[in-house]
Amino acid sequence: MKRIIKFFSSIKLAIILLISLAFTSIIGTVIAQKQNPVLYVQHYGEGLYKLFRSMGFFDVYHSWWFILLLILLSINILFCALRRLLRDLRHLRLSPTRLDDETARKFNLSHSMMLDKAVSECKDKVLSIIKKDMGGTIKQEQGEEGGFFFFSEKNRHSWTFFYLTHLSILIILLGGILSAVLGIKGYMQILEGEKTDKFYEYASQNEYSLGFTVRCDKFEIEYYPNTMRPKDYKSTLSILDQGREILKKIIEVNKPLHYRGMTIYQSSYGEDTSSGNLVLQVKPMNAESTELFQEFNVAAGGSFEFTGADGIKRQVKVLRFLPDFAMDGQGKAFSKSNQLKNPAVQIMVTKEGDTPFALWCFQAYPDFHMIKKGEYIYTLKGYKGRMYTGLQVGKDPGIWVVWLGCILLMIGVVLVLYSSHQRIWIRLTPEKPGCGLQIVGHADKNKIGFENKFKYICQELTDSLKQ
Amino acid sequence: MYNTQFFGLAMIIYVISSLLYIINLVHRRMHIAKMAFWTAFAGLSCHSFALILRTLSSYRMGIGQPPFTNLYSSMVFFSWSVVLIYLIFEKKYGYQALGAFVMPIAFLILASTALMSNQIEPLVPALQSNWLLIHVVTCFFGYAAFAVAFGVSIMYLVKNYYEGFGGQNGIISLLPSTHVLDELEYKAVAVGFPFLTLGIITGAAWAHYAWGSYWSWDPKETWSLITWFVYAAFLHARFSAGWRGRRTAILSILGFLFVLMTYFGVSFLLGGLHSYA
Ligand code: HEM
Repeated sequence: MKRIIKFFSSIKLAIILLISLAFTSIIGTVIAQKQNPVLYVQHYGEGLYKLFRSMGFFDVYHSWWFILLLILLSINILFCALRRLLRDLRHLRLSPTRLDDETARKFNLSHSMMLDKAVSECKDKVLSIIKKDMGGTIKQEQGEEGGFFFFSEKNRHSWTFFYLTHLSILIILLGGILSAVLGIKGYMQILEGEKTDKFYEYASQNEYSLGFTVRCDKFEIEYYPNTMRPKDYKSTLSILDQGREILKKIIEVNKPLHYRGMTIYQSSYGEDTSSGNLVLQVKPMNAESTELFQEFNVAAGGSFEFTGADGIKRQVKVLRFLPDFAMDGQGKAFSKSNQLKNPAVQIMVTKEGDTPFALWCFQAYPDFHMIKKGEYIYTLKGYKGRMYTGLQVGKDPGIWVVWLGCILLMIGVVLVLYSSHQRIWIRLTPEKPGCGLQIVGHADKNKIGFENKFKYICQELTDSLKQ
Repeated sequence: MYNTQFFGLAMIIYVISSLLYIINLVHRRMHIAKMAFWTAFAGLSCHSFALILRTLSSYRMGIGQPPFTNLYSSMVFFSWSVVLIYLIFEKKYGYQALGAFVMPIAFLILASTALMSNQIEPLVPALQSNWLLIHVVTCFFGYAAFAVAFGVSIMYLVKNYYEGFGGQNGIISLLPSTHVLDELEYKAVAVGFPFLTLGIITGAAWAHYAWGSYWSWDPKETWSLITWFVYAAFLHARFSAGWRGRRTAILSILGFLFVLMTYFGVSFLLGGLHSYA
């Protein structure tokens, strides 16, 4: 039993665990995590895929062995802290303020000198020197046989910082568990002017109810000058609870909204391509003046007609509208996103009594005509539709525990590294003809720094008492 | 953009300072050491001025944040932090010999930026956060302190290696004693560790406000945590398991390799694997 406790509280185990956590964490950064199995088989082959899957390499940070390591780390910290607590309390009780021979033997910073003055003469000088050079709380006591004792102590409570640091790590882990068990994260998309009270969880794609309704009153996007790079985007949201409008707030990236334990983040945006209107310009192939240009508003999926200069009717039908045109590996057109990054429309033109033909028009490349056929040039001038705002919603009851742990950890780390418990004992004993002085010191950290300070104090004592 | 010229000037001053530190290592003259220090300080001032200019032009471009977000700016800032942390170290502990190892590191980092594009790029909305600024600054102070620890550890190993032969030849005998080096290495790690801790925490806070998730095990996050584990192991090995000297020096060098991996490796080595899906 004792051996088990000793093992679990040992610093060796701590080092082994820290290094193991470091190295196992690497796996998850080398192998992409939580991807579609099909991709894994493609990349690694069937055999390796099965091996990796059985070892949890595709979700390292939730695998049983990674969690086991974290549990072992927690046990390690807990046991170590408990064992230390017993030791610290014992030391605290036994910490002597009077220098005796046992204390003198225990600590290796020690210095003795013989003085030719009496105890009473040296007392005040000693006191003023330790006041000046050591500071801290000073205790002085009269000994029985005419001797005199000083004890000076600094950062007496620094032993507690160890617990602060290490328990805060446990608090953070606890917060992580709370987040994982009680938290939920999902997304929703709301068209400008619409409202919803549902969201979809990321992992499972299940639908959940928010418990209240969110309405998107307005969505705005601002670009850096002369670019299509978004500088900022924001949504004006209203919260409706049981039919009543509770609050209205503009959210943007980095500025979420909180309501009833739920946090709503601005995370993306997009174009509703089914309900908007395209603006198409039609002009004769060799037109000199703009008078002959015509513009038409047409819904995606709709069509319009116009009569050419030759008196023949033409029908233009919108086949597909892609807000962010791209080609896949097989040369098929698709939209990379729902944002107007490279809008393109495919139309079919039917001239009466002629065979219909289809062509693509790009807003960004108005002079790009794949088909020179027909007497007219068709240009996409723009798209006016409603936008939707992409919101991430979630609740995370563990977050405050995590932040508390982080703050404590930060304070703890600084204190545990920089605050050292320093003690100095001085004993004056009457001797014929003067007195003897013994000084002993100890610091639990920054020993070299303290050793220099100790030497300095000894020097000062020698200088002022021996002259 | 005048800032580039000032970065260039700072770079030249760092070369001079490095040379002075190296000369000082050989000749041990107080006035050379002083000159090396003040040269490095002049370089740092010039470097700071250039950083301010660059920040101003970023504001003028309407970006509204100090530019820290591409490789060029972060390297420039990294080099600045290394010099700053080193000079504070020298002022506090007074071992000028370290300069001969650390200043060339700072110079090399700054020099490597000459190969990169110095464009100030507009920030995507997620990066426009005060948390980001604190996050980057604290992380880089941490990295810089670890770089100093790295330099000291190398010195330790060199010194220790030659002492193993009993030989105290020329330059080696001029380095501080292994005892002192060991202590300085710890001091540097003890500066870096709280900064890295704060860097990870502020990174988590930023991720929380921008994406609603304080920890998502992305490679950069994970590598910074790994680095943190390694340095935590270093502190424990030294403090409680009583490791000293060669073994902790190796651990500190290992730690710095993890810093480099977190900083560069994640983007260059792991990026490819993560973009396949
Ligand atoms: C991620 C986990 C951990 C972190 C960040 C951490 C951090 C620290 C820090 C910063 C110190 C101060 C070192 C110094 O005095 O210079 C320390 C000391 C110590 N830690 Fe940890 N620690 C961790 C885990 C553990 C574990 C698992 C144990 C279990 C045995 C442990 C036991 C100790 C002990 C015994 C000390 C010695 C303090 C002293 O001698 O003053 N630590 N730790």
